[in-house]
Amino acid sequence: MLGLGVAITTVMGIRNILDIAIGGLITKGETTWIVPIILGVLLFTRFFRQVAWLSRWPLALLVGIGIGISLGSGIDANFITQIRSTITGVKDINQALLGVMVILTITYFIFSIGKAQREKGVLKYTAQLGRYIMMICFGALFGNTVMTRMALFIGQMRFLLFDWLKLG
Amino acid sequence: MSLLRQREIPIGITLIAGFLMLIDYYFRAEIPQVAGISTTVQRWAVIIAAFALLIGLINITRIHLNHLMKRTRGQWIFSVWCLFIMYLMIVVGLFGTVRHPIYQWLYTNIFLPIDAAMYSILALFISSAAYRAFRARNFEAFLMLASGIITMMMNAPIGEIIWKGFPVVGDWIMMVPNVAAQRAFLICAVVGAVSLGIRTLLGMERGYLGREE
Repeated sequence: MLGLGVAITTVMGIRNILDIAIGGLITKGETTWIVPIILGVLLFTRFFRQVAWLSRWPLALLVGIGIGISLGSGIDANFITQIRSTITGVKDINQALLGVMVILTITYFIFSIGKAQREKGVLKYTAQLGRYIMMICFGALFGNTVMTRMALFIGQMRFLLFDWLKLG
Repeated sequence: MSLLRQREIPIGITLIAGFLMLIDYYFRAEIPQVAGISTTVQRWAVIIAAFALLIGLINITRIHLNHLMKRTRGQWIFSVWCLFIMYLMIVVGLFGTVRHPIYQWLYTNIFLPIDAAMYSILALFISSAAYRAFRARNFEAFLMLASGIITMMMNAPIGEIIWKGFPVVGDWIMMVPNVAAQRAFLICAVVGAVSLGIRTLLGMERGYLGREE
């Protein structure tokens, strides 16, 4: 499983290098592909102590791109959209309750005011209620995970007993 | 230490790449020229990431060759099998394309069933762990236990036979407290990710560059 998993992703990676970069460079004459090819090769310098520092450059580019993309689309999808869908369109008691529960749970994660202040006043109670909501969520997630795995297990057992051993 | 070896160069690369992506996302309409550069750099990243996969391949080969050379007890035979199946798949995938019958056979008849079997075996481990860990020692543990049982009963066909309310309560748990907590997690995680991202872009977080020489 490990070997096959690594092989499948490696084949996809090598195909990308061959078809997109080297193919683009040789057949279409797109010289800009030299840059990622050189940067990619620089990654291998980490195996040689004297020039290992060179592998930081491509890594830095990957990290920069990753952070840039996540700061842009991540804020939009996971922050603004979530807040917008929580505070807009409250039509029934459940949606109002959902908004209150979101706020209660967020108060648990306010760590910037110091432990002493967290343990007194209204924040103590809201954070405690937030913990209760999180516990309900964890239980629900656990229950769902168990049932999903059980469905897979039953499916595999059916395959082994009925399709493979032909017992049924 | 020569200038090129300084950590400021990779930090600068990170900063420029990060801001390029941010400018592309937020000011695409105002500065249309940046879109082309950003797309090119993103395509470069796909190729560099593909080279990084080869580093993973080298690492896994080194680890298993090491087991093989040392004849590690109870391990080396699995290392031989792992290396054999891995390189067989790579050779077939590269020289015969991914639509080659041997590649397809290995994928359909070995990878997929083992993958499904691995995940299904987890059901037994999870059940065993739940039996040992799920004790209503306090109110919070009771809430988690009750929520877990209700959700399981909601999904199991027998749940509705035992009590008709299981699907109703289970559905409410999934739609209200579950969504609320997950939404709060996402919002808080973004705040953390943004602060970490800004620190990394500004060079205050240098863990990804490895140890100092």
